[in-house]
Parts: sequence; C-alpha cells; structure tokens
Amino acid sequence: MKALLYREFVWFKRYFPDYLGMWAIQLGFSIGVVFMPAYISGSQAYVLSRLKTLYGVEFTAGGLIAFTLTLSSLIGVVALIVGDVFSTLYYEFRIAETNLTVMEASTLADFLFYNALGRSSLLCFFATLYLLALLPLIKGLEGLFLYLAVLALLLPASIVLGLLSSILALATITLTPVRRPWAIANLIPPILLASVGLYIPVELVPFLLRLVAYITPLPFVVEALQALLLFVGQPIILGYLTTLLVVYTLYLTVPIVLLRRAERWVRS
Amino acid sequence: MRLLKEVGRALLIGYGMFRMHLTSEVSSSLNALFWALLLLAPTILFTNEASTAVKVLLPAIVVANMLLLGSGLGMEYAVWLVGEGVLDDLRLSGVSVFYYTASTFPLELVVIGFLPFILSVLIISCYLGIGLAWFLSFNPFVLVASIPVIFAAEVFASTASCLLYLKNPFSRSLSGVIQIALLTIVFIPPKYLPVAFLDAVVPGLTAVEVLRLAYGSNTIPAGNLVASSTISTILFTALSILASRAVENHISRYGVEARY
Repeated sequence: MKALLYREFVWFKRYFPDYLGMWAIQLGFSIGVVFMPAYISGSQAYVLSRLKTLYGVEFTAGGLIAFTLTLSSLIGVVALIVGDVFSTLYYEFRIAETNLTVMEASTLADFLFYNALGRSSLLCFFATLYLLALLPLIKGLEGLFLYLAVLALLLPASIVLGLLSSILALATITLTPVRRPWAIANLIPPILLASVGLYIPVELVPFLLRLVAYITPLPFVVEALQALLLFVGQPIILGYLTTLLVVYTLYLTVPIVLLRRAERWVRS
Repeated sequence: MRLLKEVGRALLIGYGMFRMHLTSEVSSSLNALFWALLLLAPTILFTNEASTAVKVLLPAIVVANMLLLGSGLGMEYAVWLVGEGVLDDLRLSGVSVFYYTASTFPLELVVIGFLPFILSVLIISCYLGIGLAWFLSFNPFVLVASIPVIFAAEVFASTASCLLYLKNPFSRSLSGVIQIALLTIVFIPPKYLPVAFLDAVVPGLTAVEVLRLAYGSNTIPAGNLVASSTISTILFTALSILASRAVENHISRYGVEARY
C-alpha cells in the first residue's frame, strides 16, 4: 500500500504541470468556439441564433459559455487518461519490467482494472476541477449541482476509457516494436474527440468519423452531457441517462471479458 | 558557390533530421489535423457564412502547426538530443538551434504545415458541404511570399523555446501555456486587435494574414500587411539569431541539464 501511494505521489508530482496545461487547453477551446464565430459573423447574437437552430433551445451568452466549458472537460478526461495509461504501461512493462512481478502477485486483468478504476477516476477529477470554480461563478448554486452531475456522468466514462486504453496500450507495447508509444497516445484523443464533434450535435459528424467514435462510449456521453446542459430538470434527460447506463454496462463488460481471455492466453 | 554549397549542406542535414523524425512527423501532422477539426468544425458551423469562415480560419492551421513544431524542435534541441551524444555531434558540426530549425524548414513546411491544411480543407468541406473551388483559386505569388514570414515565426518559436527550456526551471508548464496562448491568438483575425500593427510583433499573426491574402480573405488592407509582414520577418529573424547565440553561450558555459 505504501509503495502504491508513493508511486501515485511521484507520478502526480511529475505530471502535475501537464494537468495545469490541460486546463489552459480546455479554456482555450471553450472560449475559441464561442468568440471566433462571433468575430467572423460580426455579432454574438448570430451565434446564439445559429445554436438555437442546431439544438432547438434558446441560448444566453452565459449559458453558452457554461455549455462549452462543460463540454471541454471531456478534452481533459480523454487526453489525460489515454496519455497516462500509455506512458504508465510502457514504463512499467518495457522499462521497469514490473509486469512479471504484477503477474506473480496478482492477475493482469485485476491490475489493469484497479489501475483504470483508481488512476482514471483521479484524472477525471483533475480534468474537471476547473468547472468547480467556473460553473458556480456563472450559474450560482445550480452551477455547483451541475458540476456534481457532470462529474458523476464522466466518472464511469473515464473508467471505461482507462480500460479500453489499457487494452490498446498493451497490444501496442507487447505486439509491436514501437519505441515511442506516446506518438500513438497523442493521436488517439484528437481523433476520438473530433469524431464526436463535442460542441455540435453528434449526428452532424460525417458517418465514417462517427464509426471510429463508437469504439468508445464517447458519442453517448457527449449526447447525455449536451442534454444535461440544455434540458436541466426536464424528464427528457432520463432517457439519455438510461441509455448511458446500458452503454456503460456494455462497454465495461466487454473489456473485462477481453482482458480475462488475454490473461488466460498469456499464462498458457 | 560557397553559399550554394552551404545551402545544400543545410538541406542534407534537414533531410536527415526529417527522416529521423518521420514517425513523429506523421503522428504530429494527423494530431494537428484532428485538433484543428475539433476546434474549427463547430466554429465554422456557428458562423453566418461558412464559406467566408473557412477562408479566414483554415489558413491559420499552417502557421499554428509550424509554431507548434518550432517550439517542439527548440525543446528537442535543449532536452531530448542530449541522449546518445546527438547534441554534441550537432554542435561540433556547427549546427545551432537556428540552423537546426532552418534546415528542417522546407520539408516540415510541406508535411506539417500544408498537408494538414489540405486534409482539413477536404474533411471540413465534407463535414459542412462546402465546395472546393475556393481552395484552388489562390494567388501563387502571395503564397510564395508567405514562406519567409512563416519561416521567421517558426525559427523564433524554436529558438525562444530552446532558450526558455535552458534558463527556466518551470519551462515545461510555461511552454504549454505559451503554446496555447499563441495558438488561440493566431486564429484571431488581426483587424480585431486593439492596436494597428500589433500583428507584426505577435509571432505568426502576420504570416496567417499573408496566407489569407493569397485566398483574398485578408482582414487588414494589403498595404498595411506588406509593412507589417516586412517588420515581422526582419524582427523575428533577428530575435531568433540573438536567441540562438544566447543558447550557444549558455550551453558552452553551463552545459545542458537532462530533464525528462
């Protein structure tokens, strides 16, 4: 336990500046997608009316900022988790070679599951922390509840992402001669995020790109997040949440089954 | 003759470095493409006229990528090349950080600058159902004229990042924030800047506007742009040479601290 805590402490100390840098990216995107179209159109009013056409809901300027800020949290969640899983597994399996120790003491599937559970949850918390300061500032008490709802919605998604990234990272590290796995890790988040559109309705993304995104639960998460922000307190949200519950169950079960099978294959 | 020989040597070194970076180049190029899509698809969709928005925003991808690459090359020179004595070999051959960045520039401009731009044009057009005619109707002379302006911005990003990494213990987080700030700024059309000619002293802004001029979507008058691009090119090239010398002096005096 002491060793595990020390490992986490050293890791966070090493990468904390990256988490801060990620907040800058998230804020940059949130502000960019609101102000750049306003600059080009010459008016914020046009952007608001365009959004009304796209989503069928009246937006206010503050509501729009809260909308983009909240959706941008997914950028941090995806980028930090994928990057972290690849670099951790590469270091521990290729450089420190602790994989044998892990497999003697436990099972590979358990190790990866608990890694995804602990590390990904923490990273999800860090990636969304800026919302705790900004949402209450924009929306008051409602903003605080919104933050908690967003966190509750993103936590299972982060665990699923952690598991899926672990499978991909393990396959990359063990089955290919790649010497710079972070080149792959850096590529996955923008592909996934561009494939869900993030700030636009998912169905507007070209079909081929959307197919890539369905490898993960991200399209469902984005739809649920958008619905949560657009239809606060309305029963329509329940439909999205129920879908998400089914999706999370499915996306959690498949990687765990795959990992257990991979474990049997490795050990035999 | 001697100059030609020197240019040939620089291009050869640049080609060698480009081959060494090939995997990272392809990865960075695709990476930049998808980040740009994530930002620009909604931005264009939220504007009143998508065809104007693509001409104003997409040329910025070229410069944004070159600035990011420049900053990466500067960091590589100060941090990563130390391993296996590559930095020593380069410095013994007289390859300073300025030379290193300049020699890789021609190939990088094509692969990191223009390739993601072309791909983003194709994907965004497919995304939003915009025709490709605008993309093919550009002024080739202005496009060529943008190259020295882009070069000056990239070498400045590289040499300044390298110096920052050598001098500042917080450079890792600081450079991330500077990169984001620069990337956010290069997408803003200079006509919205509070002071005229401010674009000349912000790396990359003038370069983007010259590219916009090639597509007829410039936001400031062409006359002003000639003045600001000339100032920008001379200013950033001179600052880069000074920064590169400062890097050499620092390494000669203190060496390089390996930081990962």
